[in-house]
Amino acid sequence: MGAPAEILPHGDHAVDIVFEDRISIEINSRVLALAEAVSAHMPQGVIGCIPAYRTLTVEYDPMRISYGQICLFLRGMLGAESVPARGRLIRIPVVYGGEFGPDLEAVARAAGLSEREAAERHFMREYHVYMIGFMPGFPYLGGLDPAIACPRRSTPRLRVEAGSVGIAGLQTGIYPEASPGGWNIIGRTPLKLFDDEKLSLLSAGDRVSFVPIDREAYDRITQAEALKK
Amino acid sequence: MIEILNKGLLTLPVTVSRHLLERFGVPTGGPADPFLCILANRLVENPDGACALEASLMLPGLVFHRACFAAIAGFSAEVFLKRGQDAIPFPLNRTVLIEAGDELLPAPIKAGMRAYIAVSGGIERKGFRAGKLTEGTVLAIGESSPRRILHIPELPFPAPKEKAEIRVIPGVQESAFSREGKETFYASEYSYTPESSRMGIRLKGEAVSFRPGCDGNIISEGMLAGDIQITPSGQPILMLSDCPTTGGYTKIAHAITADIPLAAQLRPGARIRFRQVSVADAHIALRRLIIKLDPCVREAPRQGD
Repeated sequence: MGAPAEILPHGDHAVDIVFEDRISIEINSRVLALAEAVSAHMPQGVIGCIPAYRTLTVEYDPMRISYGQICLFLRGMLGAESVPARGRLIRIPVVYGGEFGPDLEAVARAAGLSEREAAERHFMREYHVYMIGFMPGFPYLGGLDPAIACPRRSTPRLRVEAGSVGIAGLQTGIYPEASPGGWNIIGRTPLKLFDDEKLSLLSAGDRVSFVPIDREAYDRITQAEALKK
Repeated sequence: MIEILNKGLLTLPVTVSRHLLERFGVPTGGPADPFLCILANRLVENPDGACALEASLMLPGLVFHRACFAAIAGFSAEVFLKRGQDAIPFPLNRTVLIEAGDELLPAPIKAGMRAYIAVSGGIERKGFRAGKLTEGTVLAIGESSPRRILHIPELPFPAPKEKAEIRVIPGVQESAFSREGKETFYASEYSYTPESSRMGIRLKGEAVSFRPGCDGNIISEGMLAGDIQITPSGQPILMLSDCPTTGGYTKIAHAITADIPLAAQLRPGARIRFRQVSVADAHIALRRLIIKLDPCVREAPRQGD
């Protein structure tokens, strides 16, 4: 057990349970275990929760449960945390570089590596999904090799295509939908990260590994994905 | 069925905010002004959470292909219904009996930012995405049998003015700001800029300063409508119902639930001040507002034939 968590009012209809102010799998796992426990109990008036890196935001309806009651409930939950199950391992195929990864060259150059080596540094690791946020299905993955860590682009792109795999600092992530974005784009996956019916491909707590593929395989998987609909 | 003939500026089908998909990054969405949307639904005897149309600055033009009851909840607009060759006034905040073929004519919203159009039986919405409506969009409407003509003689919240005071609860990152920064935030007036949307209202005014060692960035965490983020440039953004589920800027304060509708009804150019209250006061304010909703919708006196 790490440092004790703090409970803070997040406006008049939510409270935040706040753990240590750093990014670590251990802290994130406590957040996710607590989110599980809260979702399993959901007392009257608790309407939702947002697990993030080191915080759990629990929303409530103040007309149905008081601030005092919600704090009491959460303190009880904090005592009863369980060890979370090891997350699912999900493999994500990616075409690295070229038109699908326009920033791979710059990322490699900054690291003093070839494009191939930079891509290898990316797909040789297994990542932990800390949270899904920013847009439906967008995973925040931690565990990037510091050698290819890279700050956000100084000018964000007006359009990053769906499936783009990006790097920002020590994080890597995947854009489920086309959107403006400032992450360095090093490749693209043909998988659909978010579907209106099947929802998010990934959940917080999952593990992700990237598998390099060529353009032909990309097209094949894109077709197969379209048939699944 | 109703069919959009003129989409106005931004017209969206909105329903109660969803919370269960937030963990997958899906914004709660929902009406920017939930209370006005509830009143529109009550005028046509729909459940509070029925899907209605939210119109911003301009009411859309649309044709009703079926007889039904409809109502528009809003602060001020001169609306007409085209029936055959006639243009019949469509009063705000009152149930209107619609005949098949009636056409709602587009009209500017004269006070407040948003108005809500409710139809008896509710408007169909595909999936949870509030797709923008365009010309030619056809929306199914549900079955229902309302009986009464209702009206709201006086809205329980006044039309917003140029200047507004929004009550807030101290933010979860209040300690990231310098003492002067906090004083600046509560003492100055911020103007509502045009770079605003249902995601959030970008405000401009005196920059809020951080405590040494803080730069406005945090490890991303849960974000909700009402949150007031201060970006690294020191300017506030007040989040609304389409805000992303997580954010990485420091939150200096949170607008109280009872004042989010007011924020959602302000227009670019409005000037906003913030006043700090306690969580207990915020809950009292919310209860007072909810209590006012019930008695304001009444049976309408019959209009002279």
